[in-house]
Amino acid sequence: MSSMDTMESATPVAVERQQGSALAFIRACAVAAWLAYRNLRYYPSNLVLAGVQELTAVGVWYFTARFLDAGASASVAQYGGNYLAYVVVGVLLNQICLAALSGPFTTISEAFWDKRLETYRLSIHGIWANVLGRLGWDVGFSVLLQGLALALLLHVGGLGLRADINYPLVFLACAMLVVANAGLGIAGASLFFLLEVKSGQDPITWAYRYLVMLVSGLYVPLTILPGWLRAIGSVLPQTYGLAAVRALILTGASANLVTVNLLGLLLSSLLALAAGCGMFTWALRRAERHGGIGVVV
Amino acid sequence: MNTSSGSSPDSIPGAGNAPVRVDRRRHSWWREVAALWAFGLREYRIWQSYRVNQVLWLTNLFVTTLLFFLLGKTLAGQAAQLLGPAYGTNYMSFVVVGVTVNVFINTNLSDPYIRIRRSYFNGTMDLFLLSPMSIYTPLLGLMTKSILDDYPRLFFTFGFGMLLFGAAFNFTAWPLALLFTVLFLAAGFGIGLLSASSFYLLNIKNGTEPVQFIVQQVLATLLAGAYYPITVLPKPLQWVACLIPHTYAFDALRRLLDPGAHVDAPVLPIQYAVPGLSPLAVDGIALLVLAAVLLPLGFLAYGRGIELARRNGTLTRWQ
Amino acid sequence: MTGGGNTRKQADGNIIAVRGIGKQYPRSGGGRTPVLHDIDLTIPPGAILGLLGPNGAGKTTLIKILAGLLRPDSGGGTVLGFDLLRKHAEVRARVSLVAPTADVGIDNNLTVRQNLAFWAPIYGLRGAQARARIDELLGKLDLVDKADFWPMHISAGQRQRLALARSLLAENQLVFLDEPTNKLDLEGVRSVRQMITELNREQGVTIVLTTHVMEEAEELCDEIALLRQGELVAHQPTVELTRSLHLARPIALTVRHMEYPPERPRDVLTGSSWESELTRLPGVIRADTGATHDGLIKVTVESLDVRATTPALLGWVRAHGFALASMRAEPVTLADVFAALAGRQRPLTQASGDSMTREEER
Repeated sequence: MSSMDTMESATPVAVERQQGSALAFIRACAVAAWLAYRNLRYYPSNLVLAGVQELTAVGVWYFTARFLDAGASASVAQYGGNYLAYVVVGVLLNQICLAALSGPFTTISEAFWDKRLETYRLSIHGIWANVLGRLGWDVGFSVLLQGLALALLLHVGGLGLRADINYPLVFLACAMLVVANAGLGIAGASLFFLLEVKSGQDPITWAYRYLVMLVSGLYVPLTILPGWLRAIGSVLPQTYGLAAVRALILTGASANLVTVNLLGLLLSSLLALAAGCGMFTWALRRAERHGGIGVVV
Repeated sequence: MNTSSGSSPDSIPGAGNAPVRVDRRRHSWWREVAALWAFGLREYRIWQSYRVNQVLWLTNLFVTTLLFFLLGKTLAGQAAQLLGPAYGTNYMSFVVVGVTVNVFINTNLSDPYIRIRRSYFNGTMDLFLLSPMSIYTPLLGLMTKSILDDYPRLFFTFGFGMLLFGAAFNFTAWPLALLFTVLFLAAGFGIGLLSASSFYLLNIKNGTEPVQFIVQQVLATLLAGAYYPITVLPKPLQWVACLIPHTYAFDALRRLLDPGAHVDAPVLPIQYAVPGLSPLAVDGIALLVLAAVLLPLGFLAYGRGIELARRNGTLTRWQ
Repeated sequence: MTGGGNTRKQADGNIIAVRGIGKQYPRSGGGRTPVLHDIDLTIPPGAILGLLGPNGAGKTTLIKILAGLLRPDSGGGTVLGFDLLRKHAEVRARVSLVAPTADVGIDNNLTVRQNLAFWAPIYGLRGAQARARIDELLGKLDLVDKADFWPMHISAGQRQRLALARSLLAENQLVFLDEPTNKLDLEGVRSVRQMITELNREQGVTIVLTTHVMEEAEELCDEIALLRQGELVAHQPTVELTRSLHLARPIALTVRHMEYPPERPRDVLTGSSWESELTRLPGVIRADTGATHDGLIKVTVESLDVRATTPALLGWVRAHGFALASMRAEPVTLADVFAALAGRQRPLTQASGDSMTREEER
């Protein structure tokens, strides 16, 4: 390389071009994810306790479902008549979705109160790398823990898996559902700036969590719900995602039988993602116009 | 200069030079009560300013109760069979007791650590100790806000359950139910003090505090029978459940309040182990023992924690 | 002397009398870090002690020990007549402390007045007396107009004054002030210093004050204790300390002679005996005169006692028919003090012909 080439590769524009590439963005996200892991690992007990907390949440619903199984199994006949399996599949998937749903707001809130938000904003990749990187860690860690929970329940919990499960389709459905929840989570994070909700939970994720609990079929089979509650549930990505995944895992349903649910899931995840990204971008710009995004001391 | 002895109140000039008696005696009950009142007033003012939070927890209670109402509908009339003879026939009544108790014990059990931690990071622990108050008064005072938040929820959960979701209760044995509740709160507070003491004794300044996490968020949630009878659990886990006060509180309150419940039918393994005693008596004795052991232990551990922090210079973040 | 401190009469009459105080903090990797070593300190009632030292010298640690918040690893003594080791709770109940961070102890959910009203019953004040005391403190610390404001809506200096007001609610006879003028503007510094002086003079409150600003210590403190690397390297009355360290401070004046035209200041200076006159003024150890470029006369003296020198110098100016154009005294810094203690001084402050107090470098 000539000295001129060497000089050019070191100029600010060249550096920016390199840093602005997709690969560099992914690297930035990876760093954010790694930082989140390091923060958790700083207190080793936190890592263990976070895992225990997730497993406990699954465990509570496992035992609740065991208690209700004898009476409730008839209401889940379309999913094989096993209420325990019905709830466990839903809870495992929902825990991952919750990580995607609540992660973005938590990330923004923590960065704000730690006075890191403006520093991220000033970087090439902005706040997005931090949000998405942290999201990646939260979802990944949750997947790990739910996998552990699943292994435990298969081994000692009396649960079984069918041999004819269409795993690629299951993973596709799960991925789309997680993306939908992430989109809603990012929309919720935008309210940090739009509504000045600085801690706790944002209204979008707060409301969505409750709706999922009640009307998506997560715990309560849809056949139990009155028509008007089912209608509310029909706009939630979780309703389609849970139905599709349960059909694939519990009944070995073919792709044809879950097409409607998968299409509904695809549509809702695209909408949620677009809405979330749009709202968050707008929220950042608006915050900067009105006085900045960091803490004013 | 006034050189009176250490046990008498001081006089200082007040407005118009009229002497004001300032009570600096170390163990003045009046001052502790006045301090608790001051904390209560302050925490009430703070609590009032968080109106949105009040709406949120009210909604949370409603949704939780509604969820179990809907779940109860899946039972298709088999509640009595599944609950067994001890806990009556009404699943909503069963669950409302579990949800309610779980909510208000959270203050006694989890709040002390949170308050101590906050006092450490905002530097007020030093100031609290630099006063004639006992070391326990600030902790009790700071918990006022949580008490205002959590204790009234019991009325709302019962209210939602009874008015909207078909729960029914028999309140004739309310004095006994109150007694069990008080014992339970005392035992829970003892655990809360142990949890708070870990802040200094085990130097757990950040992250999750293990004592309250294990007791409240794992054992009580999973094993104590908040949402299902512990007979659903494998036998070894049922015995583990007998180690925490929640299990006895749930069992006793359901027997006393749920319609159709029987006080004599044993459920917990420990109740089977002492057939000569009624299950309610077993619950009472267990709660009494736990309260009698945990409460003084908690106070002792907390005092030791403060003293250790004095030695190590870790009372507050201000160095 | 007003004030009702519940002070036990001590045989030696001191409000603080400690000996051999030592403290080590545990290190995260094991072992212990020494912070204080063998501190002997006595403070008479009604004194203002300045506790000076660089960052990490152990000032805050010492204050916390004396306030009963921290247990010493060695040594002991009495504070307000109470044994520091066995009766530390009694000590804590009777002292006040203001932390260096203004926001400590200030609740942002309460107004300024409500913040004080919260602490009043904790310190044993009731009803009308509490309200009167609060009003009095709000007035003295110039917070009356801000009484109904939230702390987040007042300045840092006002929050510092609120913290001071809170600590003074109890009217304790021993008050620890950890850098009380930190972060304050000039007006705030002035009012807090005035408050400290009044507290001491009118109510006889004993004050232990930490500061990095030598000038503040000189202005406010009767005695100065110097800490360095956990050791007490000096404890003397303020004036004696500056004298004993031969810390001469330059005072520079520019004056105009009323009788001579300004274009001939050198005529005035030639053959004058002013320098020898100036060195005979109280505290002056060296004097120098010269002419400025704009026709004024420059007079520079080095003084070991600025308070005594200044009026004498002004009198000399008047006696010689000068008009004072400007006057500036260069402050002594903590660095000067410690350099002097270590046997080194800045050339400007070294007194000619004087032998210096020397200490071995640690």
